Amino acid sequence: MNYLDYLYIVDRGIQGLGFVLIFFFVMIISAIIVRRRDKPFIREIPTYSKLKQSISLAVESGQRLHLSLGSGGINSMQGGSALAGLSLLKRLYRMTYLSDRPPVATSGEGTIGILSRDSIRSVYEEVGVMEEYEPTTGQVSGLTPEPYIAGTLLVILDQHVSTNILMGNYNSGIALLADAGERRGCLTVAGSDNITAQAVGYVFTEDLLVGEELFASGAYIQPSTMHVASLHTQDFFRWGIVAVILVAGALKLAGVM
Amino acid sequence: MRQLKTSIVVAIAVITGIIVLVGYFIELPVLKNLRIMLLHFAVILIAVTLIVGVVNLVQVHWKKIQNRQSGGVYSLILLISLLVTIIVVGYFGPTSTPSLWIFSNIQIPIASSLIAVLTVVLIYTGIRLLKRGFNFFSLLFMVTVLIVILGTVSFQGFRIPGLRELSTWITQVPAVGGARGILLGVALGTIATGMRVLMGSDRPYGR
Amino acid sequence: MSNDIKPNSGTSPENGKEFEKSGEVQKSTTGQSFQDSSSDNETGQEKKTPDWLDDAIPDEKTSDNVAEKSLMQDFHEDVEESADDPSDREVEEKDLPEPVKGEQEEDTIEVQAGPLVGVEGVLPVELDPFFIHEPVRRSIKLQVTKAQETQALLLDQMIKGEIESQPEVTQSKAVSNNILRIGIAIFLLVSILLPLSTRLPVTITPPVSRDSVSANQLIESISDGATVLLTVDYEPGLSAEMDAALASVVDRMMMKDFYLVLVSTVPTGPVQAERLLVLLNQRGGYQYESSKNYTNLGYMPGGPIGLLNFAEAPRQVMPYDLDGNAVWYSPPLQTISSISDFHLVVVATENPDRARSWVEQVQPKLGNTPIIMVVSRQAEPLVRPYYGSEPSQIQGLVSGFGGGAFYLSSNAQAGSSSMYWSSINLALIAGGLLMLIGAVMYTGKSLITRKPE
Repeated sequence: MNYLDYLYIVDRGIQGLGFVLIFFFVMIISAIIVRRRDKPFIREIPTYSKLKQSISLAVESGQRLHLSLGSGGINSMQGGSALAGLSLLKRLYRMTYLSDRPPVATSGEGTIGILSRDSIRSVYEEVGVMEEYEPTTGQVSGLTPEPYIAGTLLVILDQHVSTNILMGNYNSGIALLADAGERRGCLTVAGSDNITAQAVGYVFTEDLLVGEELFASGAYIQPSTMHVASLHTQDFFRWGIVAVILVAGALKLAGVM
Repeated sequence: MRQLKTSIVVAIAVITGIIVLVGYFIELPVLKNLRIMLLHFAVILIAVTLIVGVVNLVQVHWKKIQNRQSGGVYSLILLISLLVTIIVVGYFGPTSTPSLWIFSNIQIPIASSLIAVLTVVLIYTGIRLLKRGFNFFSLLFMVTVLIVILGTVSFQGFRIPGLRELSTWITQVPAVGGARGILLGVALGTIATGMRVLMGSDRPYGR
Repeated sequence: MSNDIKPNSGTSPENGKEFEKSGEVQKSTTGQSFQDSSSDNETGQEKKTPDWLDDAIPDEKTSDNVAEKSLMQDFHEDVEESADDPSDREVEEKDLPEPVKGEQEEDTIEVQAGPLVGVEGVLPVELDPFFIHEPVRRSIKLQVTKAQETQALLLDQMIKGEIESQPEVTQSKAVSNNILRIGIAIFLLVSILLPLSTRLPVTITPPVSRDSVSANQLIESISDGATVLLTVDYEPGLSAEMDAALASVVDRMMMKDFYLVLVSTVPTGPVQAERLLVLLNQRGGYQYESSKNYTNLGYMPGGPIGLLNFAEAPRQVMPYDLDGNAVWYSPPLQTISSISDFHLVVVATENPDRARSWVEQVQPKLGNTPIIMVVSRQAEPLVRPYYGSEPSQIQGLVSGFGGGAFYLSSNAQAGSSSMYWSSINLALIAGGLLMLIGAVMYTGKSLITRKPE
């Protein structure tokens, strides 16, 4: 490998790695700013406000929350939505672990199933009530998308669920889950990184998390500094991308590019 | 002791993530080999978790049968089907005639009927969309759906001028543009989530 | 009649003796005294009270002072006694509440008439006209403010809501929803089965698909016997659409005697691929056999990670086929050392994310090897940009039933795509019609029931 090849490799790498590093530093700066403020400056997402209310109601009425983590695994880009769901799962459990009916988490992939059980277990360890931990509260209900939908339907229909939280990677089968929730009179909160699922979700529920709102749960429910900081970072880069697209489009129209 | 354990776990996760990330962008031989090795480990682990998922499925349904919960009969059917399929496919092979018979005559019809139910549910909800709330966006949604559906059909001698072109334009311009925008946002969210995991501030793997 | 009306507490020995002395006389004396007093009243001159009563009653002149003094004396004595102990200190006179003070003052009222004339501390016989008046009418209505009233009403409603049992979700609503769903299902079934069962002369030509034309031209340009990587990456649920679309492409490749290398990133993919080849063998009369005409490498775990690994080193990642044979060291795969050595890559998937993974992870490693995507109609809008980009990352695109049907018709063939195309059209129209009726109905309803502002 000669010097020019080496330079090409490094140059190509710098573009990608540079983006990641800039993202990292902007996040750190945002975290410092957020920590100095009294209140996090983020817009209200009505879905999360409704979700917080329904969590309290579910605990008081002795009903169950159901969090569905989708069928995406951490080995793909769909893993991001699964990780967001896991983050919410921990927060949910911290709020509701002493409920008569603790939340149940269903997933459509082996790794997410293991991580969900681990997350639930860690919460019980944290609060020192390991005797209350039930391994089946984190379950794999199917290993491919269609069996996963069928298995999750059983959970919604049989387990006194008052609130359905569908956060993860789905296909159009999310419609069946939302429909089952509606039949049971549950509140359904849906969010997916899949475009088809979002389009279907729009028809079924008013409480839809569109696009990156799915990843914002950590900033609205038991918010942490890093989550709020990452939201601000996303906003910063989003505006940057908008600017780049507009400038590039204008240059293309002008015949420069 | 527990804190030390947690710190080691976090350190392993962070270092592994950084090696794979940097190795993806900069193709130096050392980094590349290390990245490939780690990715091979990941692929093997993911394959193993498939089996773990099956075991978990069996556990949940077995417990349901033991506790005589509602739907226990279906759990029993599931476990029997699982056992029979494992025996047949394991003995005859995945592409043998008995395995293909199970796949063609049981799995595909069941999966297809789920999609058929989905179709009915989507149409039903589409019919009731405007009942939920009559607003501009619901109306726009409905009009778009109708244009795309009617633009797709093709009857000999029956064609509304411009409808197909409009349908094609809708699916290829605003729909794709909107989808791209959403996907960009999702990508940023995914990067942020990954970054939090790499920094150790978000730990989906326990404490 | 009570005789112990004297303000002094207790009886002095003297009085007691006199009392005893005149005990027997008391009765008669009392009676007599009453009579005497009455007679005395009448005469107004003689003695008003009997002797024994005189003794008991203090002197008129000093009666007030003596009475008050004795009372206050006792009071002060008591106060002095408890003065040392603050906890026992009683309330001083000035701290006494008004009614108590008033009671004390009333004790000094002296009776002016009747048998108890001159006696103090009794209820007066005379009726003071100033005390006789109509009682003050007080309203028994509860005096509350508006806010209190509202809050009380709210509380009452909340309590009632808890006590009353809530009516169940009306059965009729659930039943009508189910009836509507069943009606939709029947309507769709009829529209799908009508063209098939009646063989109506409804000829519907599939729309022209330039993407399918490109895919067809690409396959035709490759020489017979080429080695092609075929990926079956769709779920069983959508196999109806995907089998129909893919079958038209694979049928053409089998006709040209391509050697197919099958791989999948979906667990059910290998079985799906095998099933498709069996169906095409039966339908097209081909004799495709494993290891002779095709190799099934099986399931490749890891999703995009696995794809990346496979693209970089296919021999290492998938060394064996489903039967456990080492396939890379015998013809025709012994000439394949990297993914770019394949003549063509065909990817069949219903999931746009999987399609993207193939384009993003594998396509950069393909070099000059073309790639064709066979996708479902729902994934087509998201995959099309890769086809339409310059330079295009995908060289051919066949989407859904329509694409498959056109592909067949362009080769003057018939298959399941063209067979079901009429049914699909009718079903689409049926679904669209139902939604249109619903939209009109609910729009009209909301416009009619909307209250004027």
